[in-house]
Amino acid sequence: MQTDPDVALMLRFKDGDPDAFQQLFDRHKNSVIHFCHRFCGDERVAEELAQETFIRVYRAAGRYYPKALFRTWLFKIATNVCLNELRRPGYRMRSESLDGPGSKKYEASINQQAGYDSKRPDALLHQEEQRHMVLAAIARLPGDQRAALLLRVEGEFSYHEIGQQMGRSENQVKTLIYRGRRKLKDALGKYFGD
Amino acid sequence: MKKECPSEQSLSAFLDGALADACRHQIREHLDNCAVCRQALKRFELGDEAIRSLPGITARPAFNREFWHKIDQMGMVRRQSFWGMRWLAHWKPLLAAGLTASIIAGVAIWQFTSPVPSVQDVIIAESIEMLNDFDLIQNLELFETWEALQMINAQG
Repeated sequence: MQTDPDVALMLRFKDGDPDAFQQLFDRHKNSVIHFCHRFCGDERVAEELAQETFIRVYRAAGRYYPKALFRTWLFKIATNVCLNELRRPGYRMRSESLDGPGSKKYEASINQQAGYDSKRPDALLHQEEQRHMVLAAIARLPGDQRAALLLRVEGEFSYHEIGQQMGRSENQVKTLIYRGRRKLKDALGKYFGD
Repeated sequence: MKKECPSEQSLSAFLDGALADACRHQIREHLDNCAVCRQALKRFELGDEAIRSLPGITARPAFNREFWHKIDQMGMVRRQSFWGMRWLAHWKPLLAAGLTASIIAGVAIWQFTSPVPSVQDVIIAESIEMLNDFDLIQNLELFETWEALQMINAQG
C-alpha cells in the first residue's frame, strides 16, 4: 500500500501539506466526475457529487489510514456519495430527463443535447439517442447493481476491491454485476439490434 | 442453452476474468462449440461496451473554484467558532470584574440603607442578654450560702 504514490500524497496531506491534496484532486477529479455522471446521468449533479466526494476526502485526512489503494478508497467514498444521492427525495426529479423514447421530454432532451439542426446528419442524432438510451438504462438499474457494474466496467476494479468498496462479499458482487448486466442487456435490446 | 451450458452468471464472471483457471478453461472450450453461449457472452460485452463508449466528462472551469469555495466555507465555520471563543476569552475578565463590582455595590447599599436600631430595640436586646444569665441570678442565694459555709469551714 505504501508503494501507491497516491497513498503517499494522502499521507503527506494528513501531515499538513496542502499541495499534496491539490495533486490528488487534479489527478482524480475527472475520473470521479465521469463515474458520478454514469451513475446519476446528469453532468451538473455529477460535478456536485464529485465535489462532495473530495470534500469527504479532505475532511477524512486526519483519520486516514491506508488499508487499500488510494483509488479504491476514493471510489468507495464516491460510491457512498452516489448511493446517498439516490436515497434523497429530490433524486427522482433529477432523473426525469432520462425518460424513455417516445416521451416529449425525451425527444426534447435529445434535440437539445444534440444541438438539433435539420441539416445535421442523422448519424449524429442517432449517436445522441443511443447515448441517452444507455444512460437511461443505467439509471433504471437498482443502486447497488448500478454501483457494482460501473465500478467493474468503468473503474476496472476487481471483485475483491468492489467488495471492499461496497461492504459485500465477492460472491455478492458477482451476483450484483450479473444482474446489472442482464437488466442492461434487456433494456438495450434495440441498441443491440434485437 | 444446452443442459451442459454454464450459467449466465458464470459467463458474466468469465467476462470479468473472475473465475478459477480450471473453470475458465472449461468455459472457453464450451464457447468454441456453443453458439448460444457465445451470443449470450456477446450481449454482455456489448452492454459493457455501451457503458465505456459514453463520451467522457471533463470538469467545467468553474468546478475547481466552486470546490475550493466550499472548502473555504468549511474553514470559515471553523474560524467563526474560533473567533467566537476568542470573544468569550476577551470578555471573561471584564465579566468577572463587573460581577465583583456588583457584589461590592450591593453590600454597600445594603449597609447604608439598613435601619438604625431604636431605644426600645436596645432595651430588648439587653433584656435578652440578661435572660441568658437568668439561671445564675435565680440561684444567687445558693452561691452566697456556699460562700458562708466555706468561711465557717475555714474558721473551724
